[in-house]
Amino acid sequence: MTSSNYLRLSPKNRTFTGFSQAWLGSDHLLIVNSSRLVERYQRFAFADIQAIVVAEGGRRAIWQAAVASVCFAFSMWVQFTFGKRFFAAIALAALLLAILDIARGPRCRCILQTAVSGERLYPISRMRTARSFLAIITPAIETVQGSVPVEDFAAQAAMTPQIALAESTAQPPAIERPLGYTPEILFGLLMLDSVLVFAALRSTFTVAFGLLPTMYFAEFLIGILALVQSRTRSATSAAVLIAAFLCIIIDPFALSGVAAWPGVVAVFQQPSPDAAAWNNQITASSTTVFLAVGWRAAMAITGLAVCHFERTAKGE
Amino acid sequence: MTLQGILCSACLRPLPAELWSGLEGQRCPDCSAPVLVKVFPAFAQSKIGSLPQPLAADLEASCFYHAQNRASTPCDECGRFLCSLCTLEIAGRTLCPICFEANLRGRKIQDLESSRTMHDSIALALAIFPAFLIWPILVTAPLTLFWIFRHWNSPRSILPRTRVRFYFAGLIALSEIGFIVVVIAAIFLVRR
Repeated sequence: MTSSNYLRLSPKNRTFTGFSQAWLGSDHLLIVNSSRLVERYQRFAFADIQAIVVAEGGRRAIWQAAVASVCFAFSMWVQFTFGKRFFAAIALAALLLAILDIARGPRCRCILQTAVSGERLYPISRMRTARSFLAIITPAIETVQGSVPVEDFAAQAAMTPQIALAESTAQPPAIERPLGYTPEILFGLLMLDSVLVFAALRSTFTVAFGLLPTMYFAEFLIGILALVQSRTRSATSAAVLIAAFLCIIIDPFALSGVAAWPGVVAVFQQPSPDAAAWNNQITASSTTVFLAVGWRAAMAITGLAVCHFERTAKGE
Repeated sequence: MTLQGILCSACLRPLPAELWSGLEGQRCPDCSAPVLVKVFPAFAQSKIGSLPQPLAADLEASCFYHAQNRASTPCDECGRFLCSLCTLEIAGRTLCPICFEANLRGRKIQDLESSRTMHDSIALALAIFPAFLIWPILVTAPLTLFWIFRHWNSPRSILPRTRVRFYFAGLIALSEIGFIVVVIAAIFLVRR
């Protein structure tokens, strides 16, 4: 084992890409941000720490319960067996996450303040963790800095005119991140896919079997990426993106997928599927084809227009 | 005085001094979030570095980097005289800027390191993930073994961490090589 003088202060706060964790050093607090393959370290000397502020908030359980309810509703509504199971599984996962979230206690935001910075401590994400963290780190800091009654700080603060940090400190100009092109790529893909879906649902099983899964996968992947990057986007763009993503999820289980699936099942149910079976025409109704093509085209046009107007408004 | 105010971590607005007691059950007056505030003496102390002293007489020792400043301490590494402007106190040692940079580049002082590569995790990932596609193990299994030997003694995390990932990666890579050998042998036997 590596010789280490560090004492663990918090559990790992895991994300999709890694984790962060707080450790207690001999004269500093160490925050480790790991991307699994590389660890990055931030050190805060005990002598420099001015204050630690913990604020309770951010309840995700409500959202998870809402997602679970929507998915349960979909699993009831969808007629297709695979779709029912798919939505039921997502709903169950969301419900379990909500229960787990409640069991872990209230969330919090913890900020460590120094003379020159206010650093968010991501590993301290629960009130329970924050209390144990403060219980350990406070004596360690007071050993270095000494202990002064809070009334003394209050008296000093009363004597000094209190000004918000934002007003007292000259702030650097805000850096505006350029808008990415992921939503445009998604809406462009939807436009292309509207043609491909039409081709797939008006041709043989071979074509549909080759086209549809690839399309669903690409739409889902780029949709997720666009949603993740939608923070910098306007509310209208975000709303169109969310609507598009919902349609992307529903389509395979309610429209194009349902139209193609019975034929694919029929091919595989044959004892020895021959070439003729694969060349059977897909029997999708005109309404299904119209809806599957129509929502893609409509969403693509709307999305591209919204993105265009957003860029024009921002002067890009 | 560096008194600027303590900010609420939820709304980033200043918290009034009455809330600095560190007691539970208090709420931010702006966002109403329950807050827990702990203030330390550094908040009320100004930390202004000492100014370098100018040379009073020609016979006084001057700073190596600033000939007009009086030397106050030597560098622990190279012995050059330094004024208070050039003195860097790192991990209980006094260093000049050049030695500081050399230590930073050479990763000689652990307290200066801002990142480390986890070679054991890389080896494990190299052993596991390509196995899902089977054929890449022809390349990645030997590569994993090379990575393990190459980085066995490379600096690991500064936190407590064993070599168990290296052992697992090695075992998996050896199993993959064994699998490749068996498959090749089987192909030869079938052809005969």
